[in-house]
Amino acid sequence: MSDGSQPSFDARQTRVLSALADKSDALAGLYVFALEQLGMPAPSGREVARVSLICHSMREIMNGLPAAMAVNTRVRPNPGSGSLTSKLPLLASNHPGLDLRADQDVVPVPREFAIAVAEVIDAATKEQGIQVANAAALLTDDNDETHPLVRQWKSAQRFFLQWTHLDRNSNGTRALPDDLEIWSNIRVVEDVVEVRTALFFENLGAVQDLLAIANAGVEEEPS
Amino acid sequence: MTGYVAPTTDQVAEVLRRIPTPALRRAFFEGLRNPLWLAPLANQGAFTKPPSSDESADEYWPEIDYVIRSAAAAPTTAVDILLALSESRNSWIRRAVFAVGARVPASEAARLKPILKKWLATGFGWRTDPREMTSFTVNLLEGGERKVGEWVANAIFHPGAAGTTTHEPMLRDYWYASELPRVASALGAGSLPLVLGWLVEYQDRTGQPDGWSLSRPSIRESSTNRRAVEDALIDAVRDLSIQRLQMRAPDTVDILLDTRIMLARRIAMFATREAILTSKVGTPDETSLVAVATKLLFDQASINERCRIEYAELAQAVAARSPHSLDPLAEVIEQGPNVSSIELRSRLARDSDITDAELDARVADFLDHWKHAWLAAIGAESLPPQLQPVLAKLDAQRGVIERPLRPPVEVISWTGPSSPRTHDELGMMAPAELLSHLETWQDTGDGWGPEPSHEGQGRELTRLVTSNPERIAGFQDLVKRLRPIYLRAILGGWEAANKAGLELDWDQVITTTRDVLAHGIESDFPPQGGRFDDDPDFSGAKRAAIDLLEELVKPSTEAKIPQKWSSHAAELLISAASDQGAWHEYVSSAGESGMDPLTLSLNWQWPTMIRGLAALVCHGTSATWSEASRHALRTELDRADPWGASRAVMGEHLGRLLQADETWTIQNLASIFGSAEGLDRNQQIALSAAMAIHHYHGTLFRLLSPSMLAALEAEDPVVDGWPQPNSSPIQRIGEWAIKALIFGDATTSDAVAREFFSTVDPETRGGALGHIGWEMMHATEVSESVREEFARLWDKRIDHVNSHIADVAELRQFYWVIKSDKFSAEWWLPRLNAILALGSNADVERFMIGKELAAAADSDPQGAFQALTQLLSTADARRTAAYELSRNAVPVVLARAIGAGDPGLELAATNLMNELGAAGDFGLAKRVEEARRGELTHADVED
Repeated sequence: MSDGSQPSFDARQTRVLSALADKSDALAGLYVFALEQLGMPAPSGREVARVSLICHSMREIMNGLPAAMAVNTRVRPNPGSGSLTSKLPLLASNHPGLDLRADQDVVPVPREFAIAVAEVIDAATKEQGIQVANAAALLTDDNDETHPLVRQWKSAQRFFLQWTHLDRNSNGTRALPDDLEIWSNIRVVEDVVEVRTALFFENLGAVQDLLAIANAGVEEEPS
Repeated sequence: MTGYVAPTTDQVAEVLRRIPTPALRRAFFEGLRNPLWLAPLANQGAFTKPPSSDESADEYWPEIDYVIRSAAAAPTTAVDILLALSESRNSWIRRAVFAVGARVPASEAARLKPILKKWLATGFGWRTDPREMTSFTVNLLEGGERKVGEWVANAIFHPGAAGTTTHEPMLRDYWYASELPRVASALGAGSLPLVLGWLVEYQDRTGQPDGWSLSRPSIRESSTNRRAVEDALIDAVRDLSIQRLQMRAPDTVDILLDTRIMLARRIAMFATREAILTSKVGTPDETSLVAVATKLLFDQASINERCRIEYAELAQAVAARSPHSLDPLAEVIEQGPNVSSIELRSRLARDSDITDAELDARVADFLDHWKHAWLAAIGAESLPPQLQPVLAKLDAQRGVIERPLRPPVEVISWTGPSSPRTHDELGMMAPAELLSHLETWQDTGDGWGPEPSHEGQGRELTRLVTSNPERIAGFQDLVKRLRPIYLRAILGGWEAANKAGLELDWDQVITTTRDVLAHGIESDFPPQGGRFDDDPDFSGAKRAAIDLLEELVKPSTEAKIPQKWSSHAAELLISAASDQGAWHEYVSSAGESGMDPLTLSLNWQWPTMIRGLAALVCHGTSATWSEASRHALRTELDRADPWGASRAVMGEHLGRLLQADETWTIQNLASIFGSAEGLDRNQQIALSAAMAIHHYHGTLFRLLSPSMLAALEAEDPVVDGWPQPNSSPIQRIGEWAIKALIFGDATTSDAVAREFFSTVDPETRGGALGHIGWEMMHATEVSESVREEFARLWDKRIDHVNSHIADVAELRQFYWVIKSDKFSAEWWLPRLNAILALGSNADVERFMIGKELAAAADSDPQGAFQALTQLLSTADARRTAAYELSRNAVPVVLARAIGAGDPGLELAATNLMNELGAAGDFGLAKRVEEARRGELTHADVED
């Protein structure tokens, strides 16, 4: 808790925290922070900030999990496409005569500029799909990007991302999610952490519990 | 009543998060019974990705069994799921399409047709259950989807669908014959053209002789129990035709005849007959069927030998209902067979020098025969009045035909020669009557069919003499009176009776044997019957005589035959040794049999005689025939035996010869068994047979050591006198060398042992070491010194492999040492771990040592766990661990490791347990827990 007292987590949250702590103190800290924020009502006027911080924490956890779990992931290119793109304005200013909109079929550009553009394209190509591929490697045994779980993971990732970057909701048209919706998305991450860090027979036990619920019958009214 | 509850979206989402691995998916989908989950799971994409679409891949997909289970309750969803999987080549999916199609309403099943159409070229999957294929088809046909049902039936049952041959249908013969009746019944009479088309196509593609089908002499029923495609099709066409005729479809016969094949005409006749028989008397149906029948009967194409039986039976049915309808028959019969006069004369003029008059007579006889056969088949009661006297006249002239409705081609099976009298009937006869019966009975058979024969009666006679030799006792002139085949039978019976310890008439036995051996090879009786019905000469009887003598002179049976008669037997045998006929027969024919030398020696007269002579020598030097038998044996051994049977006999007798006449044996040792200078083929046979037959003995090892050394140095493989499974002559030499070492008869400097371990390949060395372990397993007791020496030898061999890793195969059969139960776990467990660490493929036999490993875990949990880990080092081994490493061995070893109080060991064991669980052993954790509680111990490990 922000006042320094020990937060109270339920059994599942405790297991997830312990599993995260085994892998990465930073991720475990982010998880505790998110739970703490969720456990407290937002002071008036700080509702958006609260949601944004929780989502930011969870997004960082999701991004950091593949590496923390030592999954064989694809490495992001360095420098990335964003970094390379930021150098283009300076490069353009070095060639004031460059007119990329010239009214002709073929537009000649300086070699230095052409290489810079090629590097941007290369980096963007490598980055494309890297998140999905790494998620698949984390979530499934066979890097199956079409697995239903990957879809859930991507959905949660989108959810956290949209509330991490407030500028994507600059006009404030999107309604702030309630805690239930946030919990629901956190649950996706928690389950993944649990399943991927538990031993087989622990997971089997959990599946058997779910089966017991799924196969449970109800007494039908005699017709 | 209990119903299921549909899941919430969150529940389904949570489940999908909880089953990211194949093992967890399997656990969930195999356990899920609630069909209400099918659609929500499908909506979240649970059934979109079967394991592989690779043609060679055939990985199990647990999801699909849940789809099948839920199909009846959620048919539309199940079919939708399958329709989206049409690109898959996984055989589990193909199987599922039929299983689902058999369970859902026909309208849903019909939606699966596009998938099947797509799969026609690649097949419907080798896992697909033919019964499900039929159920699917029947479901469509009976559920209102007739068009699709006929299409599927055609895809499955039309000949040539398999693609492997031009005529094979998709189903194998057995399943085709089992399942076609169900489909034919569902197709109904209206589908006769379809099923008939399959039959015609099958006939065309297999090139069956039209209508004569050997397998189908009768349309009524198959002549064999074998389930064949052709029989099934004939039955189906027959039954549909009958149904159709009974449903007043007069075009049935036209449909059949349009095929222009005789088989269909035969079916048409049979079906019409059946329909007439089941029609009501005096009804329009009956009239209509009789009209159909007469049209068939008086069609010229029906006058054909191939359909005579069906023709006659149809005529009988018509005669029973409408006798006057057969009036035109007289004209038909008068016209004779459907062949021109010129062609008939040409066919019958087999000899070029036949005169016209002779040919006229032959033609007339043929036409009479033909007419007789047809009229007799129809029968006097059914013939029109004007034809009845014709048949009577032919019967009077040519004799009554006993079975006029016997098919033109009849398949007969029998299991062996038949006797005119049974063993019991022969036993009821007085000896003189029996002899007289054997003298006078004549074999008139042609060798084909179950007619009685001399061979059949001879076998009964052997049985009789074996159990009751007195039934033939007292007669001294058997050779003059009986065919050689009966002499052979009696001699064989005496041999068996002597083995059984029955008293024989020794005078008769010796006299008869002598007479048989003295008789020339030609028989005094012309052979009767077919090729195997009678002995054409005395060779069989002579062989039986030598077999009998060889049995009589065996030292072990001496007590059964009085001294006086044993001397006679010995004399007979020694004088028979000079029989050139037996030698020439052996030399010229024995090599073609493909038998090994020892087996040859038991089946040919000349080596049998050698065995008899060797047995005589084994009586020792005090026997009256000693010198003569040695001389005769030596003389025969001087022959250049091209097949080695005589040397196998000598190998077999080496021990007894040494005991009975050591001097003679030592004198002849080098010539029979070879020396260090080298071994010829026959010496290799003698050596290998001796080592295969005798247990190790120090004296034999010493005597044969020079030959063994020569065998080890031989460039080509040593010829084996008596091949044994999983062994070779060289391995046997190794086994003897090892035994010499561990019994203290030799040291490691022994030349044979040294040569074996330094020149022989590691696999064979491993085989020899393993075999000794195997023998120890079967020994009730092994002395401490032997055990210690063997243990020492293993340590040396492990040291050797440590420095020569390429020889690791030498250690591959260490599991026999463990299995022998003659060594403590403290000794073998560290060595097993060392051997496994060297990369020996000993782990392939891991299933053998589960019990021992589990027991060892009590005293050394760390060592047992290490061995377990090494034995299960491959993914395949982990998948099958529960079955291959003996049930319950794994949980006991894991439980001991977990409970050993060593945190590192506990962690490793827990991890391995979970890996094995993920590999498919879902019950392992429970069994480990039981083992920890002491409810499961190594005593529960299956051997």
